[in-house]
Amino acid sequence: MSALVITDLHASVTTESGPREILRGVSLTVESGKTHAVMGPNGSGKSTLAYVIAGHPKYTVTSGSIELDGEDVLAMSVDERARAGLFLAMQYPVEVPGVSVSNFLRTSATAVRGEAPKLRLWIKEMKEAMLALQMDPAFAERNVNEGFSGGEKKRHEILQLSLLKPKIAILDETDSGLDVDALRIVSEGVNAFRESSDAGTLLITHYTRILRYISPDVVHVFVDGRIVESGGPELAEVLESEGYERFVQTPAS
Amino acid sequence: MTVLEAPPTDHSPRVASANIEDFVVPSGREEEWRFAPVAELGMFMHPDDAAGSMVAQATAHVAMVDAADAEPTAWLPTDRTSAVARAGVRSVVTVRVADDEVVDEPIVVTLAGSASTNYAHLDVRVGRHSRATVVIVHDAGVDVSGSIVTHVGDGADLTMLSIIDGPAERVHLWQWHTDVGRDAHFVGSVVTLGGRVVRILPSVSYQGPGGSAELLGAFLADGPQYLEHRIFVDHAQPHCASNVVFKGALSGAGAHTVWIGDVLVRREATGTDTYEMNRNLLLDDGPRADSVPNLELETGDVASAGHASATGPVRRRAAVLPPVPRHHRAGGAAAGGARILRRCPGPHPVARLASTRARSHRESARDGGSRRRPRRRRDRDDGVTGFLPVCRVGDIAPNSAKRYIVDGTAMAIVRAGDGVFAINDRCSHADVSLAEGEVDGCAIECWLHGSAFDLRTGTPLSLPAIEPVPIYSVRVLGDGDDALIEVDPSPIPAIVAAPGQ
Ligand SMILES: Nc1ncnc2c1ncn2[C@@H]1O[C@H](COP(=O)(O)OP(=O)(O)O)[C@@H](O)[C@H]1O
Ligand code: FES
Ligand SMILES: [Mg+2]
Repeated sequence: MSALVITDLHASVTTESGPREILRGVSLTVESGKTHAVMGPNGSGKSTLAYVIAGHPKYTVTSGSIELDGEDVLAMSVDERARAGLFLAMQYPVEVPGVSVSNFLRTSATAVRGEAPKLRLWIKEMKEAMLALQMDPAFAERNVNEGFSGGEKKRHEILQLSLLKPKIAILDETDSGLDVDALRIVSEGVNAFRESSDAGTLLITHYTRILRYISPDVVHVFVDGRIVESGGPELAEVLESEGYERFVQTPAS
Repeated sequence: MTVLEAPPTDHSPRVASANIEDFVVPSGREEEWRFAPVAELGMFMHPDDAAGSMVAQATAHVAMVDAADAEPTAWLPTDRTSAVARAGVRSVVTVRVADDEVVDEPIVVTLAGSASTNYAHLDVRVGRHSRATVVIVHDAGVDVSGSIVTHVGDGADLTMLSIIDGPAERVHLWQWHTDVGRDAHFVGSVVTLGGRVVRILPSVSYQGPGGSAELLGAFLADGPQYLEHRIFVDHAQPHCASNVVFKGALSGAGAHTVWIGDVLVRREATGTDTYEMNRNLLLDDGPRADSVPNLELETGDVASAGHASATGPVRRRAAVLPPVPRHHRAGGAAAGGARILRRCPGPHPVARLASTRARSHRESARDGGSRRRPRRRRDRDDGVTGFLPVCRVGDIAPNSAKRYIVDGTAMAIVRAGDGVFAINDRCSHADVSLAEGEVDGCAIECWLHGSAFDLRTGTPLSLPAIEPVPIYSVRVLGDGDDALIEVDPSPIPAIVAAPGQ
């Protein structure tokens, strides 16, 4: 049983006109086996929350805490966070020229598991995971994200998820830019991961569409750097029919 | 009248208005009219009650609506002829695709004029997460001036094709504006074969991050046809992509084509991926082709940016212009938010012939119709040599790094002690910017998993990275903070060393 506990988190970014606060008091607990959807309008700080959990140096945590099973995540290096079981799938993955998918995945697995997986076992493991995501085996030899379609990039992230088996997975807009078929396959991958691993999932999304395929236990509405409302899956339906306007109108600090 | 918020590119529209009087009657000296035979366009410069309206057959997705009852559009005309047409058009052709609707068969809109001179307005809206193909077949037997206003909903995928085929007798003036929603994908293609005077102005703007647009064109001009395609892509949202590819062939005396490609990447449009290209083939000595790519970058924080233009006779190797050094990130924090701007003027209309390798593999990377985002990378073999200015020493804090795009390649320019180094910005382990890492002695450490890379060789010094990162030659001209840092963007061949040394 694991839990990622975020308490009153404030974080800012340095801009040309000085520091700018983006996270303004986020409190959220993600337990293993549970899926939390975080939904909010553009620019509300959802990606920033994901980056801060993963330890991106661009953002400064000014107050609050993040703990994973009682350990202070903020005190860990980025590397240690990955090893402790945190995984971030980025909204805009970039290319890694010259590094094949298979090499990339094995290196990541080495970093997370603390030792290199045996090559023969590894290839088998990777092939099975790729099969489950309906990926062409030739994909393993292509360079990471180079010339990938939007769907391939996202499938690659879900492949990492299934091989690295984190305790807590943070998926930042894994659904954006996917057509319906790709969305279904990616969602099935996420669901398979959830069923097989008892991990906790933080599903950041802008659209309610993915929630037709992945049913969240809790839905949070994220506006202006904080959670303004939490509820069950029915909250997503409210957002679908009413949009974010009602929540955006709460007075800003 | 809306005076468009500045600064547009050299050629991009400056005024948007529904009011005809906000636009002077062009004399032909104006930048945007300077190539066009304005004397032949008089019928569209002033309102004409005798003008007809273009109509189309109603189908499941297509309807004709009285102009007075039409849904308003946010778009406004940006030149005189389209303002006249917008004010005078009596019926609007609408194309609608609902949210989440997937239309497999192409929606074909065949336009027909009701008089010899016609106005037109098409309003195309496809809902969020929908998918459709819309084909517009123009009527080459009448003169027409009009606009197509397209809205691609969030996450939708719309392919449009506009075809002008038929006799080379008539005038076709079109503004075609597309708003691309968040994460939406738009392909707008034009095929221009017919028409005596054709002037098409495709423009694209983005409504949210993650959108991508491809503007593709093919045109054939025989004397005395005049075919102008004037493109404006306005990047004002992060993480969007544009790919503009126009190809033409010309033959016969008096054939004249004009291609203007304006791409503006505004300051807020970080992570933009843009490329534009025009290629013209002259089949004999008679025709004239003007080709002006114009890429303006207000931010250095782009994924990729480039343009190319070439005009040449048949049976010679494709003429490829030498690349224009692109942009820098100007001014650091010390510059107090100085505007980041570097113009990349297009080449002279008559392209210089240079014997360089044809870049066919760039185009073969295209695969029509898939959801693949437009993607292109500069060839390394197209004659780039030598050092390009990047920034001043003072732009980078001591013992730190900053990301710059040099000739299309993202690099971390690093100050380590007294030295200045250039290393490819991407960690060889994963998709992480090395410029965001820490400088430690003569190495830069990737922030994500802590691999350190030797700045002198690009070799990884610690796991998990095992592959080297390309490095580049640097020279520093001058002294102190004002010294200019120049980088040669051709990578130094990798220095192989055992990992983990
Ligand atoms: N490095 C940065 N510099 C300046 N502003 C930033 C930076 N990163 C994020 N922001 C701003 O923080 C806000 C939240 O961004 P983000 O977390 O990406 O939002 P979301 O993912 O919800 O769309 C936005 O207004 C964005 O412009
Ligand atoms: S991404 Fe650079 S070390 Fe892992
Ligand atoms: Mg985001």
